[in-house]
Amino acid sequence: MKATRRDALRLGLSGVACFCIEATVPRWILRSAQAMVDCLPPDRILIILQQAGGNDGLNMVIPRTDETYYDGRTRPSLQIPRGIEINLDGLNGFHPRLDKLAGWFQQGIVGIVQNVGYENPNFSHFTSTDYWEFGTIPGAPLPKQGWVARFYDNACAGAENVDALLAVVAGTSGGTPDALNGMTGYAPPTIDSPDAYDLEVSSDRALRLAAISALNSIPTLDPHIDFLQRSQNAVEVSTQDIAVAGEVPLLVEDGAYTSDSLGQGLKLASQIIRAGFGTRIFYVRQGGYDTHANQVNAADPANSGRHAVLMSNLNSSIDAFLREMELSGNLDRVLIMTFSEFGRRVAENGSAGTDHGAGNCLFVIGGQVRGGVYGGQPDLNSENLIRGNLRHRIDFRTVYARVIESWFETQALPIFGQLDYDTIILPQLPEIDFLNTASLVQSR
Amino acid sequence: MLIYLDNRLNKKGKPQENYAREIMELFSMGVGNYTEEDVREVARAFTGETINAQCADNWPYSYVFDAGKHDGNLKSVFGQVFNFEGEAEDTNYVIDLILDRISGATDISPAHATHPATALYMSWKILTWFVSESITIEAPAVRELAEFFHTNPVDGDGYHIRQTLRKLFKSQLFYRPEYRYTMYKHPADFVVMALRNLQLHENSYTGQARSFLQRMGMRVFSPPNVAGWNHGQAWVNSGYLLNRYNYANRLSSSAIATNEWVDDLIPARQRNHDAMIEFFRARLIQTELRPQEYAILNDFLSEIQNGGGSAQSKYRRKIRGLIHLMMALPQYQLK
Repeated sequence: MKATRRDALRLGLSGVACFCIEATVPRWILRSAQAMVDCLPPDRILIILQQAGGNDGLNMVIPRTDETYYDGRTRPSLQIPRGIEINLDGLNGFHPRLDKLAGWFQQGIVGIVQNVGYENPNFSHFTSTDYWEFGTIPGAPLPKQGWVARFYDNACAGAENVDALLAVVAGTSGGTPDALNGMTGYAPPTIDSPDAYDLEVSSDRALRLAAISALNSIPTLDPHIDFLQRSQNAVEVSTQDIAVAGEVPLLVEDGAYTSDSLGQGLKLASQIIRAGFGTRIFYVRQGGYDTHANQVNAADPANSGRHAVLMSNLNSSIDAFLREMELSGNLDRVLIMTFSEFGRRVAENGSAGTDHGAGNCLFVIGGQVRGGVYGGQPDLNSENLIRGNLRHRIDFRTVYARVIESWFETQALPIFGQLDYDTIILPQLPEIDFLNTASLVQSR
Repeated sequence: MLIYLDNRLNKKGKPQENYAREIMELFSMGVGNYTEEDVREVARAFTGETINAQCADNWPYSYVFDAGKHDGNLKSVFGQVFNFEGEAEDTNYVIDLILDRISGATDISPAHATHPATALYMSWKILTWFVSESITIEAPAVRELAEFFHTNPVDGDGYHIRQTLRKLFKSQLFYRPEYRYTMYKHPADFVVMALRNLQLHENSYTGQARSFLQRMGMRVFSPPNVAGWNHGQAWVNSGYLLNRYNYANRLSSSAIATNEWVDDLIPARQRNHDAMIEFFRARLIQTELRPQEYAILNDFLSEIQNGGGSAQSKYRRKIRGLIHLMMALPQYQLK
């Protein structure tokens, strides 16, 4: 059915006016016209959820038995008062605004990976985000492709029939994330909202669209022109699908998805999944985590302040998404993985906030996740901190490797290199065995 | 920055690092030229630099140095130990240290090691903004401009921005083929150039630039974070591009390009297809069209010519279509 609709689009483009360069239409247009992905498992969808700005993991997952957290000196105005955190496993508690996620935790589909970071951490938002997006650490030059682009290219080299919606950046106006940059022959559609994602043509619609298509299909050696033409192609092959997805009805109450980029992104991701399109990777963003000041409102640290609002939006939107996935029978097909460029300083600063830190926690959520806490407890004892910051125990690339190998069933070794794979990732992988999808690809 | 980067809340005993970090990372030297220890010490030097929230006439805040909140102990920045009494003296000293700090970035070629990091980094930012995003900080052009920026003969103190820009704007760099049409227009470029290329004016009934700018990824006067917008390739993705096409379509529609405007554009005797394409090529593209582009535009005009309708309505459809199509050319997204 999808192929039929796309064929109709192509017919519409080529049948109206016969342009002289028809024969030179680039191969990716033809590939995109057929909706198939045959290089990644069909029932595995990854949703990468960026918490941009540096999330305070210690107030998201509260170490509820840690004396330092409650000593009244470390976080006098930031600490979530004892007893109102939501107890998860005795040792850890959720921020009180994560009540719905706590319900999913009790159902056993939420994994928390603690102490995630990397050696010799960088405290610049932009440099540290680069490391996470490109899947590398300090000391190595940045690769030309993001980590998703690298494993995709490695798994799908030479693959035919790449779906037009293979990877989608949803709900965000932040542009294409570096993680997805550089996928061979593919530019991910980036969609703020399905409502505004349509080509407007005030007259001669078919003629003009055919001409715009042809103007952007001329073979070129100029890398700028080539990139622009590929992006135009992404417009051309995705608008009709997104219009179809935009009509898929909500299965949850109005307002369940928050109005921020995160809520709108997850809402669109759910629509695209439920419409039956072949997207394997979604990227959604939630900004605002750089809480140097007013992270909490001292009068009501649990419920007001910048971080409480962020937690509340995260809670509502992920819950709405999971409910729609469950109701539509898709819960086992999705895996949400959160990340933030760094955690925050263990001790608060003088403005009810926290400065940039290092080790952090992240979530993995989905029907095939083996719920629980991985990676050990954070150690807040000042003697074990590095200049006031948490030490990491799990390299973030080990989390990526777990996703690449156990979710997408493809090799992680070529993505991170033999040395780091053998010495860092492989020894840590057994500690974060958070997926039920059994087959661990043997990389060696 | 006292407000945006929270320095108004920076006080002795519990300093906060937001401004201290970003002034060095983004606004002067760039990463690699200071340590985390320097960030913490600069934050201490900046303590007490705050605002008075009492309402003044037109602006509710005024700058205040709150000596009671200033850390009066010794600080150590780049190995220099200091503590000055008096309003903003520590801050002034830190700024001088930053401006004179010699580049210590490990990933920069040895030739750079004799240059002040701020001069290099700012010169690189200026060059990538005005000339080409492909210029790396190692480029000789960066060193040359940095040299002038730091020690220009007109102003003994150096760091004279007006003189530096004057030197740059007279530079031959702009004429190098490898730097021509290699920068992606940002949304404001696209919108303003589109209007000016055609000498069109939105009015209060048709004004749509603001909402379209947002849909192209740029909420004007509201950058996404302290580093500002990502430029270059970051402005190109399907969602942003689609809105560029749609803005071009709106611009070419009768609400803005009125029938009178279209009719006055090209004299009736000269309305052949070559002249029409050339008219917009000269105004919008400036460089040559590729032969295939020319052929496609010509075919488009012929399709309209061969269809039904009065001569006048065909002419208007051709003009409106050409505006839309030429603004959707990949070349038109570059500057």
